[in-house]
Amino acid sequence: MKVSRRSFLKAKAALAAASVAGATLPAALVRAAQSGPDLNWQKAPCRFCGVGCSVLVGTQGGKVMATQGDPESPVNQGKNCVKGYYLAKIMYGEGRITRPLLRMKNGKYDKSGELTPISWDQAFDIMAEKWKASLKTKGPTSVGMFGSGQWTIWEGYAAQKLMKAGFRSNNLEPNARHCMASAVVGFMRAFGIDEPMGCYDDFEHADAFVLWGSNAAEMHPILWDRLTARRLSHEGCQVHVLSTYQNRSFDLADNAMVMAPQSDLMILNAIANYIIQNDAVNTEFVKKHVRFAEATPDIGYGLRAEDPREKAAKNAGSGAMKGMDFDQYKRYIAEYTLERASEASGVPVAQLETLAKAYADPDTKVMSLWCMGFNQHVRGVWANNSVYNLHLLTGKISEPGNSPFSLTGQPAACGTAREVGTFCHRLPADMVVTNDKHRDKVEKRWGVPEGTIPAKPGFHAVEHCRKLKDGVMNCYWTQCTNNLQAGPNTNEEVLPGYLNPETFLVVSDPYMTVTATVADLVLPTAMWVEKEGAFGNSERRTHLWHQMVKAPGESHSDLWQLMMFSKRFTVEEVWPEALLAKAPKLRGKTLFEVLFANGTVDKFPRSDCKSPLNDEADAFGFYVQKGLFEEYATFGRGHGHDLDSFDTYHTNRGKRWPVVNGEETRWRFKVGRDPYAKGDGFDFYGNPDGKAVVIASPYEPPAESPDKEFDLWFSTGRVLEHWHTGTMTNRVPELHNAYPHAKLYMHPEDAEVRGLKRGDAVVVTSRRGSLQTRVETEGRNKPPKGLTFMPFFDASQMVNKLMLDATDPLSKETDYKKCAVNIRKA
Amino acid sequence: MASQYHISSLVVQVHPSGQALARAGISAIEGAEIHAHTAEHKLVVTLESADSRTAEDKVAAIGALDGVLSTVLVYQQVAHLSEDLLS
Repeated sequence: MKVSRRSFLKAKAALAAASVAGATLPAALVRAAQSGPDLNWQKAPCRFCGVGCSVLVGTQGGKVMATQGDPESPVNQGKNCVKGYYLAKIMYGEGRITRPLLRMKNGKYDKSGELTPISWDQAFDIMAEKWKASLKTKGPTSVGMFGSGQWTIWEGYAAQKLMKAGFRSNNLEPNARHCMASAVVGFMRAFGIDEPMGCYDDFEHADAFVLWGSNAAEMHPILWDRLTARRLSHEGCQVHVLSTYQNRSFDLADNAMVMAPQSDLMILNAIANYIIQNDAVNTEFVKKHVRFAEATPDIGYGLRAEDPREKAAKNAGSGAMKGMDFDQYKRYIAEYTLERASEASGVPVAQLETLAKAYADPDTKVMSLWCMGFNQHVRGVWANNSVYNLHLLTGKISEPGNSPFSLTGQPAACGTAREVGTFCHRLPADMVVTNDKHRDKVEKRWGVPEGTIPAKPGFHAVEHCRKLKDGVMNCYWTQCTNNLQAGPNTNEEVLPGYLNPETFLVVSDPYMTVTATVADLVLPTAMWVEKEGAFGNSERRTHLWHQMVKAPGESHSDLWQLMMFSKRFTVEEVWPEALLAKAPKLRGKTLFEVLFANGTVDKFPRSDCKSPLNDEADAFGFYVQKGLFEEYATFGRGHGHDLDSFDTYHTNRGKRWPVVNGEETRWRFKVGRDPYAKGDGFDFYGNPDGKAVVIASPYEPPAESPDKEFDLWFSTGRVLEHWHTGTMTNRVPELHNAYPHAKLYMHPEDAEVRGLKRGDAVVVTSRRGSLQTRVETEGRNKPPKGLTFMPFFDASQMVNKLMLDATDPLSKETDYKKCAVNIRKA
Repeated sequence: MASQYHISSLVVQVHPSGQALARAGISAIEGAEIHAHTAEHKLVVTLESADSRTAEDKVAAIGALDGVLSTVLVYQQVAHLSEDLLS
């Protein structure tokens, strides 16, 4: 049968959709699909959100030609959301940077000069000169690095080694500080170990779903698809949706609740109280597996110390807890009634009671879901812990369908930021720099002398900008993130920090982001399948991909950049003599030799890599990714964070850790399902006593609320079509056209009283700045009166300059959901 | 002369009672073709277009049809073909 190329391509596309739908195609069409020369198909996780869908990537002639949902993936089962659908185009947008660019005047570096193409050698020369001078005159705390939950696992790990052991600076942070830090601290306080106990399989087992502020319909569409399928096929299944404004997730809600900002704290406590008052506590579970503690109140807002709100706080930044018993907890929580929560939130009592009953009914399996609504919250840690309280009081945890599930924003916020520990206080596998034993273990494994890693935590992400502005930190490298658009309070903290004459700012990115436009040195970066990579998704699934195409021009991956830069330093140039004296064998060596050519990372030959393309392995002469992964994995194996062997991940669609004897773990802490759980029923082994902690915390107000002058709430977030700051998605014509510019969602009556109608140009002003946008009174988001929402993807409307850099004082994560603005006609 | 050929495929979930209406609507869209359907009222649809803007308009048009509950995009490819494509 002769089949035209066009018929072949059409049949291929039809076959892909038929396999997702479960439909049978006519035999002739199937034959046509099998007749032509196919693209070279390989698997990779999607580049975007934390769901971690697998896609099949089709390449031909050195270019990605097509993508399709991976039918073998347990996560997305062949489906794609609209962003994943257009993945093939993200590398071919307008304006890829292909050469290093240095700000120059009269042939040399000048902060007031123009970005000018230079060679990689010149780029590393000027960087090394700046770093060495800074380390020499001001010491390790004067250099810093800002990375990403979109880094691959080995990029994060290489950065961790270079910063904390090489430069001996803990000023390493991921942008995941802005998105997941409250979740991490919540986990550590309640369970002593990070990341969800359950997994996506819970979607097929739950009887009730509760969305605490999450708009999963837009932000986690493939999980929303699984949730929808359960709701429509499982009799009695109920969906409860809470948010500060009506959004697309409300379409499926059986119990739709619009609540006032910050009142989630009140609702959470009221439900806990309802469970106790209605004898719905699972006393056997609580007696065996739970202890109680009280959080320290009045902890401030993570603002600069001189801010009056910090001065007024009695216990600013205190994460101290004191033990209590069940009766004390019962008394503590008693003041939070449904009536009081209703008054504070604006949600009718009957609806709150319906929600409370879902948790209280022992026969209803509940999956709680949350993401930025809880995490980007001045009391985000408390909110995370308060939702665990509900599951712990009722024993609804670690079993299929009973699942408090913290959704993740970024593709490797779990895999890279949290598991590798690229935070200023963390080390791999939940270890911390403040713990002598942890540092000792890491130093020994890395083959560096005792005392190399500083015991004092570095500056956290929000502090990075403050310290750059204050001239305390001067050399700063950001990779795989766009903080001038994504960071909070950009006009007062981020931009002044980057433009400080004392700052030398290096930005690695594939595209010219707003951050890159103010950089002193821009480094062109390989992205996604232009390099070999590994991500870890929200359900503890680690998955890998091979390099499939070459990056354009002189672009190189973040990993290559980090490792090449390490060659520019000898230990004598960065370590004090006292430290060197402890390890005379390291004298004269470069940081590359100490950290990467250390006998472990360089153990595996290039020939172990099954892919013909691996630019890093070619450049360094060994299988870099495998060496870094295997060294990193030794920290978690045997300690509840076990990863499988590197090679197996290239043959499957990922596994959920702990992976013991090749078997993944779907439900942690449950005896019989988790190889680490021992004893009777459940074992919360992250804590030495095997118990999980119910943590009582009060209601405390936001850092800023509307008043006479700034009379409206303002909240920011994402939209389905765009990924974060739009660097990639705004360059895909289909996605740009679908949602070209940010706009301000507001209630029609709020618009009317200001003389505004839909489409009008307006000026939005907070205490920190103004921007111009257009009013939207219809469409997907419908705020209640008094609240406005605007997405942050649009570089022409820098939303985050309106935001206050108030954080949860425990997690240091910014509250991007609440500040006060006023709005007038432009 | 080689021209651009955009081929996409979708799974379209239609309402049981709106099947006929949805099918008629899809068939009326240039370049759209229904290849199969399932007992759960899902249609397998391919879309051919000469440029990305048209492809995207067609996806939106299908989503907006009466009787259509949702669309799931599955496959996307751009090819350069020498044959006369969309005549």
